[in-house]
Amino acid sequence: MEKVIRTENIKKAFRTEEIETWALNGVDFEVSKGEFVAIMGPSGCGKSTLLNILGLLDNPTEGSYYLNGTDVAHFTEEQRTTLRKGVIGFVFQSFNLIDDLNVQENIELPLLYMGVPKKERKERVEKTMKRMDIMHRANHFPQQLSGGQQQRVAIARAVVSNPQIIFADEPTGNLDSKNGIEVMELLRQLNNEGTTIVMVTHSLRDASYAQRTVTLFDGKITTEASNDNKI
Amino acid sequence: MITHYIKMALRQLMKYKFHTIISALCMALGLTINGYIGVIIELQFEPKEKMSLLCKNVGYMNGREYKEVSRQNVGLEKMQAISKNPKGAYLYCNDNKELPYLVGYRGVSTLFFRYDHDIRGNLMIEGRDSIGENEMLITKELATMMFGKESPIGKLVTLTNIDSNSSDNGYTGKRYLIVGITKQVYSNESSNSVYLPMQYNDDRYVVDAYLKNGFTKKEVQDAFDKVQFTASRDGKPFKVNVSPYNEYTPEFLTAVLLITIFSLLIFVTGLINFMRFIIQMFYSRWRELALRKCLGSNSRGLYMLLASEVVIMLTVSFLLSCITTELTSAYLRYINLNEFELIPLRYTLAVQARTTLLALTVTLLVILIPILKLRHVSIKGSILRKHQGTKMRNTLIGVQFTVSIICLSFLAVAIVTDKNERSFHSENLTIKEQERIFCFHPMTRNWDEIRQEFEKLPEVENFAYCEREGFSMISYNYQELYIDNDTLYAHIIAYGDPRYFELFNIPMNGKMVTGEEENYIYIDKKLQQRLMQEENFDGTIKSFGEQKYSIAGTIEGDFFIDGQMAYVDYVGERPMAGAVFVVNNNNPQNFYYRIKEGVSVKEAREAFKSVIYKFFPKSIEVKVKTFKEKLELQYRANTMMKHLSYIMAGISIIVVVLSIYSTISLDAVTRQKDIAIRKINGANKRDIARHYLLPYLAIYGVTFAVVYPLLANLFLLSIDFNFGFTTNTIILCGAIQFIGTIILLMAVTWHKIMLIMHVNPAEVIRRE
Repeated sequence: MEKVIRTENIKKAFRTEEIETWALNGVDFEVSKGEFVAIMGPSGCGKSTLLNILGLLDNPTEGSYYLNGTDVAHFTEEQRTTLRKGVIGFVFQSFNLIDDLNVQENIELPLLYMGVPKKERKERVEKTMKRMDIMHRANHFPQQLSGGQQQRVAIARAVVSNPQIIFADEPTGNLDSKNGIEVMELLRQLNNEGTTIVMVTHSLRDASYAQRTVTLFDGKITTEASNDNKI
Repeated sequence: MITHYIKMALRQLMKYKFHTIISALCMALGLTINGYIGVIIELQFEPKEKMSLLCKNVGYMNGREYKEVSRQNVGLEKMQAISKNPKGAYLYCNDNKELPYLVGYRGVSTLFFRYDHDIRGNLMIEGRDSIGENEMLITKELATMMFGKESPIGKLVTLTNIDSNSSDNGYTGKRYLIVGITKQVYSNESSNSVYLPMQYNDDRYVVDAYLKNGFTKKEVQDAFDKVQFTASRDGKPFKVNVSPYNEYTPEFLTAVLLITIFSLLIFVTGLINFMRFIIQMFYSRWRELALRKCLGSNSRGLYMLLASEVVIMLTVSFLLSCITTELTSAYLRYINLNEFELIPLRYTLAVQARTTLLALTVTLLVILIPILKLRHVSIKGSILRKHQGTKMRNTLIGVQFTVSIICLSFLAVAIVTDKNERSFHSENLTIKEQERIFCFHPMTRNWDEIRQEFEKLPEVENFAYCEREGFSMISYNYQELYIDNDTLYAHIIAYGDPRYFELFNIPMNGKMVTGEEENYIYIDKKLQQRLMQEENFDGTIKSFGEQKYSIAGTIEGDFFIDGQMAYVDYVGERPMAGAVFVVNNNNPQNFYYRIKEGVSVKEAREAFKSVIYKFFPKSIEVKVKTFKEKLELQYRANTMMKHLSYIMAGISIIVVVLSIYSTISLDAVTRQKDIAIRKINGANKRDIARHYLLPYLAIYGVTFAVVYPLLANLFLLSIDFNFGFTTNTIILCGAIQFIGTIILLMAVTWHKIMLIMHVNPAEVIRRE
């Protein structure tokens, strides 16, 4: 299958005046188109760092990262921003909605930066809100929503631009089990529709939604297993 | 607990080091400038209880009148007198003789030096503050010159006339015992001054006194009106007039008001920037404060937390302002603001301390707003989300912009006024030409010989005389000009020698008459045009006063003399038809010598001095001044105001730029998460810069649209101050200011966004 993500010996160091910490220490990792991959591991093992690099939020210190066949490991900030548009969507544990914008405006944000015309933006935002079942909350502000609803808005914002890949960083971490399941069902539905999903999680239940689970320990991939053989 | 608050405050301030420094610096600059201005203004004003005593219809009292008035006064205390004008004399040191020192002496009432004089307080430095018969006080400078490090107290000196042919008056030809050392009474005079006991003769004295507690000026005046004083100079009874010591002109008060507002604005800019920083920092810690509330802290505790930051910041600002004062006072001395030499630093620091306390009070009151706001919000809500405090932030930014617009408008006033003043002084002479003219007043002896030698000096190109000090807007005088039976009024610019025109590059049409030829006048264009309208005008001779004068020529263009434009439309309520220059060489009091091109000012100065020292002993300090120096001295107050306005304009620009930079910078720092989320969702640098810049531009645009026209109407146009502002100037100044600030806003926003864009947004989100 076509590999949308491929990393070779990715390393990432965080340096302060006193110490140097290697968060990633040679990660070789591949994701095929349409795949749903879960990344697991103890706290501090480098999951989020890997996700940030894969999501083009950060550059690796060493190694190569091929996104759709292009080595993007040493792209500039400007190039990464351009490449992210319409290709990558993010979902975070803490939702990260902008408090001053209402639901509709929050979802519209990526389209705005992509330069999509107003009429089309409106149509796509409405379509996404219907799909996420939050149409009735269109004019509400984030503080007026429950955690589950906020995460739905965050997912809607991530998918509104029809990205090829969605990176989710513990998407159910702040939710109760009922809302958590709903969010995971939404992600599965997106995956079924062809969106590649890479998800960092602590939850075995959430990981079970993925087709493959990768386990990280001390900045290295220790195990990789398909959904049927997960640890 | 206090230690905890201080520790937390210090940590918080250190977290925002850069912004803390900027805020403290802006505040310190505001405090410094207010310290200076406060003292300068205080120095200009006498206490309102201080009264001036004059003889009605006569003016300054003489010694005999003072003696009588001082015996019978009601409701006044601390009455004191000092000679109106100093007199020149030689002072001989009896111990070591031959060479005399040239001094200026004044008579003073016995206890003159016991009372405070303006902000400088008591003038006494050492010795006795009362003067008895044949005793004298001398200035410190003179004491050092005459006796070096040795104390002059107890020394005997002799005061003699400069001209040995003159007979001694009551003061000269006597020996005096030096009983004390004092500061200069009048700081703008020669520092070689001596003070002697006043004499109850016909010399004129400046007399003042303080109202006693519980007495009003009116009561004192009424009491004086009932007294019949008899010791008048013409033998007739006289009355005493009591008036406030200084009657300030509206122009002076307006200038003081403008400078005060300007300095207050700088202070307010600093204060607002400071408060905005504290409050924004508070909002950025909304979650922490809510948590503290959860853990049992009450409003008082939260207030203490914030108040600790305020106290620490203001202490740092005050210390910084003390350092700035120390550093800048040297500069102020350098630019010759002589008042500063007389003001001990502690006065400035005292004003700064008072201003700091004011700032502390205001800030402690303002920080109550967010604390009260926190009392009414849900704790859970505060913890779950971060409050932006947008409204308050925007309001403070708006206020800051308002103050910056006013400050920058004052800068425009300073520049335009200075530009006008430059053209005012240099209409006829360039600065270099002003330096090439030397000015002299007649010396007390051998003046005819000295001036003849001056004229023969190879350095001298030409010269001219003038009878009286140049035209002055304050002491102008006018004459009636008769054309048959019609009467016109013209004001006299000067009596003098027509070479004056050539020397001062004043364009003149007509013939040059010599100083010896009298009954000639030169008239200005305005008067010429007015005369041409007269039917009986024959173009040559007109009656002027009781004298017939021939018109020798006309003065072209605006006529400037001694830096003042000799042209007024009215003297009092009388319309002036024009101005005249009367040819007269009888009693010249001003002598001008222009030196040749290629001769340096220094060489010429030495040449003039060498002539003078042929007739005077070398121990006499001779100051030879150029026309430029004379102007600077004459317009010292203007020069000082100009320097002050420039210093304040410079400081206001620094404060405005720093505060705008700090505002945007802190805003960007506290909204990093917002930026990160936008960035993750595809926003690039331009998108984010645009997003952040637009609110600033909107706030500035609205503020400018409201404040600048108001300023232009209320301030720049309505004050009759001859600032030289026209509608075009106002529009131009506004446009420059508007575009300049917009560029500044854009540059700072872009710079800050560029810095933040390099940060990994995921990292920012995780941190938040």
